[in-house]
Amino acid sequence: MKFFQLLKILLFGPKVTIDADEIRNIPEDISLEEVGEELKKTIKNLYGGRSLRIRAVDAGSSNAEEIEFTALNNAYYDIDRFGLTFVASPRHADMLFVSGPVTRNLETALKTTYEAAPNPCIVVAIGDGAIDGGIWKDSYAVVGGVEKVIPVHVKIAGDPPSPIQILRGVLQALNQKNF
Amino acid sequence: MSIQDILKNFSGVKIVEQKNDTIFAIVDRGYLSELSTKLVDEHGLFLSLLYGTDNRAEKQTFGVHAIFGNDKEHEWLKLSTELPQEDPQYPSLTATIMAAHWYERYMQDMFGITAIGHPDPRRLVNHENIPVGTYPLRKDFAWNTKLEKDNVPYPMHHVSGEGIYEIPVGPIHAGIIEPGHFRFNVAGERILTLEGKLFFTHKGVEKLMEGKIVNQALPFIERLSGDMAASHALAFSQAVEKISDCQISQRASVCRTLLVELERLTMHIHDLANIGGMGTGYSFVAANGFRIKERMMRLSADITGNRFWRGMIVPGGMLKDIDNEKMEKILSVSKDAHREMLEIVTLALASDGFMDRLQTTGVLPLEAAKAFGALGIAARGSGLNRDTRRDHPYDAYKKYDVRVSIKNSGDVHARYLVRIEEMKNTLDLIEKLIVDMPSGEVLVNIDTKDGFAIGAVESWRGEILCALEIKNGVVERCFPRDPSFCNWALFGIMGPGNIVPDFPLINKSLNLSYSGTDL
Repeated sequence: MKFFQLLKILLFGPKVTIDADEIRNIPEDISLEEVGEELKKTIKNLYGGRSLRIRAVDAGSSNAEEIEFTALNNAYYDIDRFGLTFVASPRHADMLFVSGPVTRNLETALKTTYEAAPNPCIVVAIGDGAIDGGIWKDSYAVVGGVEKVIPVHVKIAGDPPSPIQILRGVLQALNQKNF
Repeated sequence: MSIQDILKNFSGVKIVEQKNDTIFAIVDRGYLSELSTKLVDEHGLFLSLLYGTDNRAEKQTFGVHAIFGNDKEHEWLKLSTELPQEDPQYPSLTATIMAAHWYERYMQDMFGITAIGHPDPRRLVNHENIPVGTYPLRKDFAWNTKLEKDNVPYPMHHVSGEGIYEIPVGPIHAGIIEPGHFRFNVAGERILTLEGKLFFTHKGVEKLMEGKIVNQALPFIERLSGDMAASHALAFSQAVEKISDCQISQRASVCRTLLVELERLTMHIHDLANIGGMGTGYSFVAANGFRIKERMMRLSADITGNRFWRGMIVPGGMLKDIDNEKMEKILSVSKDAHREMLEIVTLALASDGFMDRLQTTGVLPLEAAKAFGALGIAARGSGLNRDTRRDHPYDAYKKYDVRVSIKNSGDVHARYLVRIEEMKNTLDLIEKLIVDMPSGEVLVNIDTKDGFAIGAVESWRGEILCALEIKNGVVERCFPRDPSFCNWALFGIMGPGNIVPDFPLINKSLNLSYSGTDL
């Protein structure tokens, strides 16, 4: 019986997927595909075929940046196809995404995360908070700006920056080659 | 029974004022704990907020204020007491009202106010690096003080015995989430105790808002928690409007409700996808759910100019209007999103493996939910029938009935079902709001007055309570209490008895904000 039920769901159940075109053919996303293609080429040149591995570190953000990082993985952006992946440990990372005005309580954690990552580690400060402390600048509880704790290679402004702005920033970081 | 009537039974309390839906009363510091306990135990009030103020400049005292919700009569009671500045202490409420436990530790860290008899008077906000004697919310502490680096112990509970292991997790987690530290004591895979260390993202927001005019304080409110920008802005705006006796336009009132409901729909879709997909490993649910959520975020970008339903709600109404064309778009996108998400969760719920992960996992008993003052989905999944939209109606909820979904099993499954039902109710409400949308202006001029008021909003996570005091036209004290603040300690109850791999699922089933709690 179970088998027939399954078959019924498979054949006559609700439609739960949509055509790739429906997602991809959004005019505003043409730039995403362009940036993506360029990223793919750059990463292939730099890392010889393997992907760029990113570790996200929240250093006190309002969690908006984290929502955008998660969005990078959804079907609209799907950054895996350009050769970017988020990894669970800094030990596997080529790049750190740091968001938030580094709070005093996270200063040590950020430093040790950076130290745990293999060299060269590209650090991208994402969002206004990560650049200089943003609206929380100079608060007693905030160190302010990722730069004050670890070296930063690229800064991406925004409150928070959109997924496409983040991807452009990553491309810029890879092209700068100052790491 | 109304608060006026309840207070007639007690002689040591004096009602000093009544404004809007709030009754202000004062008690002696020795009587606060006893009276509060009777109000909660015998009269069914809920301790909704407990916070401190520094009144040393005027009265040489510190203030302690407890806010109680009287759900049936739609009232709030603000019970205040004064502590002399040379001896800032009072008998602890926590001994008899569990819900007070974090508030009192918070006051101890931020003001140096001691709750005598608190069963667990460890540090809370101040981590190892903060020197002893740092009280950031005292008025003589400058907001930009550069503190020395200290190394004060921050002890955590642990169990010892043969075969007992301790697993430290965080603050940097494996997934893309906010920072917090969890300490598991386990026997094999079974969790014995679970404790969190939070406040890693403490940015000093309360202090930063002090001395600012309301429009300067609003950006901080909108950035308390990125995924709750609209709800927090609404709670704050409500408080400002109550203080200033400002009546916003009909259209603004309905539009605001619409925005908060859209935020709820967006985040419920996110949570259903996140619990179902990332929590259990059934990635089909996540892949589809996040796709649908992205559409809601793009809808937000279209309506508000950003992807977080932010920047619209301000004291006095709304910053900009939503035209009819956009209203149509909201309706069609929301309808599609709901329909598709429903298809996906229906499939998920038909899977035995999926149900196996959700059912009987992370049970929160009703007594615990009541004792800890659980809010939002956590409360309603455990049979605690509370919803600020119905119990303290505001904006358009005064006109529309809110269907409150209640489940009794208290497990992850119950919270999943509550979300599904709320998603449906929210969509119905969005439809009604758009059909009945009144016309007119959306922003009225607001002349900020001095005073105190509470803004209460049921966000998608639960009840936000924003206690705001304005003096000389600027913020004197603002405590925007996120529902997460009350819900974090629930993990100590929900975790034990489960296996460690179920914790991420339980965590996602509440989806609490770290940044909103840490302030």
